[in-house]
Amino acid sequence: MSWALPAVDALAARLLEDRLVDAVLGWARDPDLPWQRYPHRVDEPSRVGELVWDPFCAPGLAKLVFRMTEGGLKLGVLARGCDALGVWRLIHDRRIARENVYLLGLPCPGMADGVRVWEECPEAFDAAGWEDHGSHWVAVPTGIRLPKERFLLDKCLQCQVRWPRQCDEVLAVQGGSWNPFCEDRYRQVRQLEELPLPQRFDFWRGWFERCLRCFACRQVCPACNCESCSLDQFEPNWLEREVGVATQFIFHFTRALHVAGRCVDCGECQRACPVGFPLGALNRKMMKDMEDLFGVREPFVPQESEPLGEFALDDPDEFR
Amino acid sequence: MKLVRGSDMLRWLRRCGEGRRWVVPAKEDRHWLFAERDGPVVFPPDYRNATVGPKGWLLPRSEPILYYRWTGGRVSVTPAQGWRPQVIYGVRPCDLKAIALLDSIMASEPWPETQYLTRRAHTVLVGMACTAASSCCFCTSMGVHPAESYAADLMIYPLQGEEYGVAAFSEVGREWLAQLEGEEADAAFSPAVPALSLPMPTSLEDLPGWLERRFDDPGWQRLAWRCLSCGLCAYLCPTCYCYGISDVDRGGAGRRVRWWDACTLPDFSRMAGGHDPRPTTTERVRQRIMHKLAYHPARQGEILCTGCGRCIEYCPMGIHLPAALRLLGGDGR
Repeated sequence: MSWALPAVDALAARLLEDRLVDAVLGWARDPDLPWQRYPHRVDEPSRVGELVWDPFCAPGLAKLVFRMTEGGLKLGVLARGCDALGVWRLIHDRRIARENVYLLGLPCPGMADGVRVWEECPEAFDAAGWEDHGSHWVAVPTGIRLPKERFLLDKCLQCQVRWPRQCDEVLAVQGGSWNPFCEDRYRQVRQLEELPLPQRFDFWRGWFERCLRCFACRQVCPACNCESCSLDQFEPNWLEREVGVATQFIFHFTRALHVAGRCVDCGECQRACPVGFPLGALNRKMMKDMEDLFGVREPFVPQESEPLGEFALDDPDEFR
Repeated sequence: MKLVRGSDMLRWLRRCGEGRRWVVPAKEDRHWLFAERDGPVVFPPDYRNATVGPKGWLLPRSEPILYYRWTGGRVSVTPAQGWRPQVIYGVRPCDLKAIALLDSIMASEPWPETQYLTRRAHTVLVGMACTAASSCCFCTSMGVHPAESYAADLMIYPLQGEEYGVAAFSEVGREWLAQLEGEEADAAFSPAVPALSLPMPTSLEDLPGWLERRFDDPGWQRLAWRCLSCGLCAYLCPTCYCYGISDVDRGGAGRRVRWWDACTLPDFSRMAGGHDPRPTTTERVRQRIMHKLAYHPARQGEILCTGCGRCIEYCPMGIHLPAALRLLGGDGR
């Protein structure tokens, strides 16, 4: 099936023309870097041609929606599964108003690591369009086949949210809900759980030592949407600015626990991390606990009321 | 230049650097970083440059400056001793140029940074000229050359196959080179051509003025609206050196710590009382680029960007220098 860029353009133009939205958020080609697509906002129907929808639209859009809609802007969002769940995270957290977003769902066949494709197969970027063939992306008309096994972004290899849920409309284009590359979403978590404690500690300590604490993981995260983050406060100073194993534990575990039950598994933290920290494994451990301890079947799907965000008078456990 | 086989070169380096810590490019998982290892290594062909450069081995991510203790109303202070003799090996010219820039910044009066300078004085830098460019390299656009030595004590030039050329550029470099058995020769070395050539709107000399005239240009907003205010670009940047200082206090005793800070982080310029002269990403992204390409060159005569390309490759939202120059040049996108 084709990537149906004209259909995306037409829909975006219609939303703008009908004044259903003030702007549409999607992706645009970077004129300087052939492999790069960056988040792009279009305000005029005549400019929808600037939008692109192909296997290189790597950045997640949800966190941008948060700030863009602050002033009451009505925003149409080209939303893959991960973007849609991120936006719903913000809606359920009362950060954005449901009526201020119009979600244009795009079923996603997974995104490629653009730099890697550029280095190994630059001629792929001569394509006029793309088709999704399940295990490959195929360039039109050149016929160049890019195997997903080789080029999928990490976050897309492990993706379990390809289908855009709870959208205002879904474009019937390529892609389905099933990701053949992610048969067991907790595989890495189980492997880590089976490690003896000292090895498990060493595994995480190795990553903590490598982490620069640049905050990219927090800044891209749609679940990290607090007005002010406890980890930034000086008074009281929950997190020392000094970077050592102890403070890195505090940083990453605080964040993992604060997004426990709220993480939408979009994988943006792992994509943004410059040193490749497997943040997904931390977050999925929390997700697995949500399943095991609270019986939540899809802990990555935001709900109106959630086990860790709900207060009930008849709670069997007393506050102590 | 002396010509030498790779295995002999490694043996010679290891002997000269005995007793020092070896900091070398190491591939951990899929990422290259500078890490402590027991000696120098030959790079595999896919090595271009490390994601995290050698900056942190001279200006650590965080480090104690002093230790203090209060007793009977008096405070006693002990300066921190934070250095070990080290060799940093396999440093690319863009990072060598960056270290040369840091050297002059850290030495500047009236408050030279003694900790940096002490660590630097005990560091031998072994540079490696570039034979392959990464997709985001643009050093020559910034006037940096992929075979130049800059701050290096020794430079290695990979020639044919197992053959390397080695040249010295400092006293310690010449001492080390004198111990190398190798044929003295002039070998032609043709370095890699950087992948990107930036669309420079003006000469490097005129760039500060060109940017200053565009301080209020709407292009800044068109670039920076999608910045998410992390510190990734600054922390990976080989020339970003801004730091903050705070105390880690444990009831009457503690340490004063210096840590990397970044002008792109939202609390960097927030003042007591809450005022922030750079309240949005537009001002913050502008500040970072202006500091590198306008303010520092105007004050010190040197551009504070060496074209390593890390900010281009790793910014999660695709904000980068080529885009800034294009947007400020009037292209509406």
